[in-house]
Amino acid sequence: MTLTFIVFLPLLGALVSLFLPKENHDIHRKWALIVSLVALAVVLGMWGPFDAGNPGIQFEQRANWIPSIGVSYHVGVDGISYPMLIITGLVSVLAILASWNIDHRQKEFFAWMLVLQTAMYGVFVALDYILFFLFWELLLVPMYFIIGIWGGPKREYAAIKFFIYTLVGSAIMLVGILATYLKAGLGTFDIVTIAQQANFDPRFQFWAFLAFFIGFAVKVPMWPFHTWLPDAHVEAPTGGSMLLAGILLKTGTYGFFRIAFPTFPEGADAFKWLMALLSVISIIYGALAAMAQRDLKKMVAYSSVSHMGFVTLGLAAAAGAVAQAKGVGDATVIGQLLANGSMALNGAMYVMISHGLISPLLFFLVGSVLYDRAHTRMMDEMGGYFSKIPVAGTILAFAAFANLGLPGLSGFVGEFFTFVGSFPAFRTLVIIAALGLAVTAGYHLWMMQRVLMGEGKKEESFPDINGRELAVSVPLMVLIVLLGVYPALALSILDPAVSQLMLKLGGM
Amino acid sequence: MSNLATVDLNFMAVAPLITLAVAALLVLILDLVLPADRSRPWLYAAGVGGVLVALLYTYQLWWGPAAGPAASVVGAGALGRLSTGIAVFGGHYVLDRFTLIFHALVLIAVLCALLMSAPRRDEEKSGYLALLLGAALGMGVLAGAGSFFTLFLGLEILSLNLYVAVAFERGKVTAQEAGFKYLILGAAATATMVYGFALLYGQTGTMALSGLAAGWHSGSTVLMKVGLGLVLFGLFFKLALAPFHFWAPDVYQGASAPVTAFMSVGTKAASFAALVRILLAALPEEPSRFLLPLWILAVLSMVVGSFSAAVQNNVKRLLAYSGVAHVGYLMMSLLGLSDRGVTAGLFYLGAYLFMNIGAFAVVAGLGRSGRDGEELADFTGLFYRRPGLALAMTLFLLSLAGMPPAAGFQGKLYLVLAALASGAGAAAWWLVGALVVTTGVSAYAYLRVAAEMFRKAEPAAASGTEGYREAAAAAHGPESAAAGAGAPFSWALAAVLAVAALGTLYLGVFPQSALALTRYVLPLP
Repeated sequence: MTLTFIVFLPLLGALVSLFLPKENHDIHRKWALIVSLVALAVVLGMWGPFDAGNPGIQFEQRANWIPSIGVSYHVGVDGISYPMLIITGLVSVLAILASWNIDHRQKEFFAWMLVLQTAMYGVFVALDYILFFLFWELLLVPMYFIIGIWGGPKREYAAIKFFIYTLVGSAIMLVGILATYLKAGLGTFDIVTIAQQANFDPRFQFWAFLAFFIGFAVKVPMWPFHTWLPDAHVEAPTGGSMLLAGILLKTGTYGFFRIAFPTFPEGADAFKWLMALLSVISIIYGALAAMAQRDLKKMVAYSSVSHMGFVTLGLAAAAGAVAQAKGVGDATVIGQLLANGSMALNGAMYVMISHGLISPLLFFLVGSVLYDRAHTRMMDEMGGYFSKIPVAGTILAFAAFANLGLPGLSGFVGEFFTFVGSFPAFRTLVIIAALGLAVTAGYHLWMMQRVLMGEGKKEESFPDINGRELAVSVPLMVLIVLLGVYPALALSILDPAVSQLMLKLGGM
Repeated sequence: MSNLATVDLNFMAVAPLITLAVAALLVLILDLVLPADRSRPWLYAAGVGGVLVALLYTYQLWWGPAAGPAASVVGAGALGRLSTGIAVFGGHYVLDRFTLIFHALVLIAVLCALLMSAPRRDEEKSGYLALLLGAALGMGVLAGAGSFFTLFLGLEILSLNLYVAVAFERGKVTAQEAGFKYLILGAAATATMVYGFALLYGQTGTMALSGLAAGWHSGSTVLMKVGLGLVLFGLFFKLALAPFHFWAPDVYQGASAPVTAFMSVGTKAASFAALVRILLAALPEEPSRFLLPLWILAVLSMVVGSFSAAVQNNVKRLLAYSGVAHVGYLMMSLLGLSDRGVTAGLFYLGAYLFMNIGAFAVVAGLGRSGRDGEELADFTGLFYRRPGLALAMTLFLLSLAGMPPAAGFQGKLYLVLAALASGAGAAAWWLVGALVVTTGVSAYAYLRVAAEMFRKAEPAAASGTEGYREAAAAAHGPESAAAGAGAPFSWALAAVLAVAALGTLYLGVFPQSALALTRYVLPLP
C-alpha cells in the first residue's frame, strides 16, 4: 500500500489542485510543494523498514487488473529501484522549488508537475509490463505540455520532437512486450515471473532484446537516438529540465536493469559489443559536442548524453564479463570475472544516482540562477561571475567539478567503478572512453574559465544567490559530497540486488 | 432456403430495429401534427426516446434469446463459432450477441449524434432526425445479416439515409458536393457488390451466408474468388479502406459534425460486422492465406491515412484520414479470423466510438452560426478560452494516437496481441510494423491540433503570418478571431462530451469489463 500511496498521491494532488482558485498563484505552488514533500517523506520513511540485505522485491502489492490477458497491478521495490525512488522524490521537490517563479498558468504548470511525479514513481515501482508501459507513456504527456507551454522560443518543435521520438521507441517496445508475453506462454504480464520462469530461445531473445533496446536507448538517450535531447533540454523550463535530466533519462537505463537484462540474458550477450560501442561513442561524442557549445544549457544537455554513456557501458560490461566467464573452467577465475561484472553494474547504478543529483543542480544553476540574472545562456556573454556572484559562482564550480568526476564527489565513484569493472571485458573501448574523460574535464574547465573568471563584459551587478535558490542547491550538494566520500551509503543497498542480477545474467 | 410456411417470423428478435423505424416515423408524424414553433423539443424527445427504448430491447435480448442454447445456430460451420444465437426470418437475420454488440455501438453513436444536433439551429427539420434514425436502422440490419438479401437491404437503408443526411445543409455548397460525391461513388460500390452477389449465387445456389463455404468444393473457385472480391470491394468502400477512401475526406468535411461523427463510427462498425460474417462464412480453412490483398490494403490504409492526416489543416479532414488509418488497424483483427482477433476488433470499435465521437463533439462545440469549428485556426489558443473543451479534445487526440491510459491504447494493445498470436507469420509482422511506423506519423498529426490549442493566441494571431490562418480568417470573417468564445453551449453537447470522455477513460483504465462483455460474444480460447 505504501508504494500505491506514493504513486497516486501526486495524481490526487493534481486533481485537487484543479479545484483551487485560479487567481491565487501562491496556493498552487505551495500545494504542489506540500504534496511532493509528503510523497518524499513517505519514500524516506521506507528507509527503515527496507531490508538492504534482501536482493528480492519488497513492499510488494499485487491485484488483478485485466485478468482476461493476465495483466495485474503489481508494484514493489528492490535495491535497484529504491534509490531511484529517493532521487525521484528529492528532485521532484527541488524542481517545484526551482519553478517557484513560473510567471504564467501556474495552476496548470504545477498540476502537470504532479502528474509527472506519478508517472515517474510509477515507472520505478511497476512490476507488470503493461503497468510499466502505462507509466512509461504517461511520462510523455506532462513533459510534452511542460515543454510545449512553458518552454523557450522553439518549444513546440522541441516538445513534438521529444514526444514522437519516444512514442515510436515505445511502440517498438510494446511489440516486444507483447511478443514476450506470447512467447513466454505463462499467461501473465508479470515482469518478475517472466524473468524467472520463461525459457526463451536465443533467437527470440535477440529480437526481443532489440525491441526493448530501441525503446530504452531512445530514452537514455544513446547515440544515435539522442537528437531529441538537446532540443528538449534547451527549450524546457528549468523545473522540466531538472526532471528530464535527473529522472526521465534514468527510466531508460532502469529499463535495462529491470527488464531487458534479467529477462533476456542471451539477448544482452548478443548485443554487448554494439551496446559498448554505442556507449563509448555517446561518451566521446557527447563530450566533444558539449565542448563545441556556446549555449551553456546545451553544453549541460550534451554532457548528459556523455554521462549516460557510462551507465550503458557498465551494463554492456556485465554481459561481457558473463561471456568471458563462460569460456573458463576455473571457479575462482569465474568468480573474479563475475565480480568485475558486478562492479560494472554497481558503477552504472552509481552513475545513475550521481548524475540524478548533479545534472538537476547544473540545470538549475544554468537555467534559473544564472539566467534569471544575466538573461542569457551564451557563455561568451558571461564572465567574472566569481567576483559578481561569489556564492552562486562557487556552487556552479562545485557542480562542474562534480560533473567532471573529481574524486571526493559522487561523480567520481560511479565512473571509477564503471571503468574498473568494464576494463577486463572491453579493454580497447574503455581506454578510448577514458580519453573522453579528458575532454569532459576540458570542457568543464573551459566553461568555468569563460563564465566564472575574467572581468565580465557587462558592467551591471547582480544580487547573489537567494534563500530559495540555496534551498534547491544545498540538499543536492550535501548528497553529492556524502556519496562521494561514503559510497557504502548507496552500495549497501545496490549491491545485493545487482549481484543477484549478475547471477541471473550468468545463468546461475 | 426454407419456404414461407416454415419461416420464423420472430418480431421480438428485431425489436430494436422496429423501434427505430417507429421512432423515425413518429418524428415525421409529430412534425406534421404539432405547430412548427413548438415541435422541436418533441421531435428530439421522440428520437432520443426511440433510441433509448431500442437500447433497452437490445439489453433484454442480450440476456434473452441471444444467450439461448446453441440449438438453432445457423449452420454447424463458421457462423456457429461466433456465439450461440438464433436465426430468424428463414435464416436471413441472425440474432446473436455479435449482432447485439453492434446494435449497442450503433445506438450509442446515433444517440450521441442526436444530442449533438440539439443546439443546431439550421436543422430543425424533422427529416434530419428521421434520416439519422433510418441510417441507424440500416446499420442494425447490416450487423445481423444472415444472407445477401439482408446484407443488401441493410446497406441500402443506411446508404440512402446517409446520402441525404450528408447533403442536408442546403445552403452549404460543400455539403451538396459531399452528398453528390457520396451518392455517385456509393451507388457504383453497391452495384459492384450486387454483381458479386450474383456470381456467388451462381456458384453456390444459395443466398445464405452459411452456404458460401460449400461453393469452394463445388467447382470453379475462380468465380468464387471474383464474386467474393467484388462483395468485399463494396464493404471496403463503406469502411473507407484505402484505396477506396477518396470520398471520405470530402464527405466528412461537407457533412455537419453530428452526421460525420455518426457515420464515421456507425458505418464502420456495421460494415465490419458484415465483413466478419462474410469472411467467417465464406472462407475455408487457413483463411489468412486468401486474404493477402486485405493485408496489403490494410498497410496501405495505415500509411495513406496517417501521412495524409499529418498535412491537413481542416480538423474534419484530419479525422477522416485518421479514420482511414484506424480502419487499417482494425483489419489486423481479422488476421487468422480467430475469436481473440474479432474480440480485439470489437474492443477497438468501442474505443473508436468514444474517442472519435468525442473529437467530433468538440468540433461541433466550437461551431457557431451553422458552421463547425473545423479549421485548425479555430483551435488556436482554445485552452485559454475554453480549457475544459481543450482538455477533452486533448484526451480524445491522445487516445486516437494510442496513448495510455486512454481507450485507444488498450485497443491497439489487443489488436497487436491478436495479430502476433494469430499465427499469420509474415503478414502479421508487416501489419504490426506498419502500425508502429504510422503510430508515430499520426501522433504528429494529432499533436499539431493539440499544440494549436495550447498556443497562446496573440492579438495579431487572427491575421497571423501563416497562410492557412489568414485564409481561415478571411473565409469566416471577423468573428473567427473569437470563434467559439460565444458559441452556443448546450447541455446535450456537454453530455455527449462527458459520455465520450468517461467512456474513453473507462475503457482505457478498466478494460476488463468490456472484455468480459465481448467474451460472451466470442468465448476466449
